Amino acid sequence: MARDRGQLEADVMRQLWDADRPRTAKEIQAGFGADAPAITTLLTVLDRLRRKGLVNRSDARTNITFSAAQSESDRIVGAMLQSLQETGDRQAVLLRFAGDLDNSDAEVLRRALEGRTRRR
Amino acid sequence: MMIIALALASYALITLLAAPQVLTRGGWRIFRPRLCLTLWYSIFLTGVLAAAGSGGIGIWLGWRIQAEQPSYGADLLATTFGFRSTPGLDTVVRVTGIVLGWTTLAVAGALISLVATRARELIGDQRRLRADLDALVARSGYRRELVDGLPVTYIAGRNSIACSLGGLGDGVIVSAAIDLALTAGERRAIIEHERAHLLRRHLIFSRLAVLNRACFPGVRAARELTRATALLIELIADDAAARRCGRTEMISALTKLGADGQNATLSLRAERLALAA
Repeated sequence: MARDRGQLEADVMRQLWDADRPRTAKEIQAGFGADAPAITTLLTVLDRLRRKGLVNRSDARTNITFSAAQSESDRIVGAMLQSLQETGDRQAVLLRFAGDLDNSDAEVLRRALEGRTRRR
Repeated sequence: MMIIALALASYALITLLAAPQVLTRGGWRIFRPRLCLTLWYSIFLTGVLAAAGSGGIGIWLGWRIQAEQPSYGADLLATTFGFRSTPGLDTVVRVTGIVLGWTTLAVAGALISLVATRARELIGDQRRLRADLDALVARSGYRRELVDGLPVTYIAGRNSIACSLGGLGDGVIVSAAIDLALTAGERRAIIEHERAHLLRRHLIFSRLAVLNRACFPGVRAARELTRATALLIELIADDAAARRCGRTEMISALTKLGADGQNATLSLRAERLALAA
């Protein structure tokens, strides 16, 4: 199955964040299993990720390895949001793109959209 | 004076009862979120002012009844409502006035103390969060850029997160998941959404709603104000971002981020923008 560019970049980053040591492009390719992209595609992706600041490349002339420039933040962010959730004040201290919306807000939106669609 | 106090108290009570009835009905609020938020906070703030004014007059009248000559309360009733002053009525009015005055003072003191405590807790939470985010950026930040004067910091992470602390100087934090999943135009739409929150001081609305709910936890109007604020500020920021960088980019960003189905409101927000076109 063909992946789009963003998906391929995200998959490469997942491998690098999970890796306990720097990986060569071949190792990253092997990490994709049967659905692996071509090595040239992978090198292009790795170069793009390096330019974005997400990936470090070793200086070696042969056997070049790649590693995540920074460790991932998900666990810390999750713990932070959880602690704010417990105090109940998250919406008063942090503005998030997804907002602090729940199923009841989704229902309000859905009903309003259905009403507008019916009228059209 | 007494009539003014009664009128202000009635207005405060009417806003408390009528606002949730009027402002939580109909689809108009979803398509006119700015108008709806303005109405909510106009009603809320005037209601608070009316309640404060009525309470202030009540305390003042109570103090006058206690401090002035014994017949002051009955005179007040006579001049306001045309009652004839009698010794029995004098005593009833005097006791009622004093009890109401002190009760109002006690309730006002309790509310001020509650608001001050909650506000201090919020400031503490904000400070702790700022320190946590600074540590997070130091540990996981991989790129920083200035978008039309707004600092944007990217952090490594596979969950889609874009957030800000409420100050323009604090800037916006965007996770790698968003950086990788979205095109430059879509990413810009997300940043403009956050900029709209910051420029329009949406955090202040959220704080007012949270403080109000803390004071009146069981009151429907307080609960509805908190819910309405959370939803309306997102819709207002969506509209502002769509105006600034194009409806298509904003719709596309919302659709992509909502594609995993974890947050149903994202794709509904995209649909709303498409319908509003």
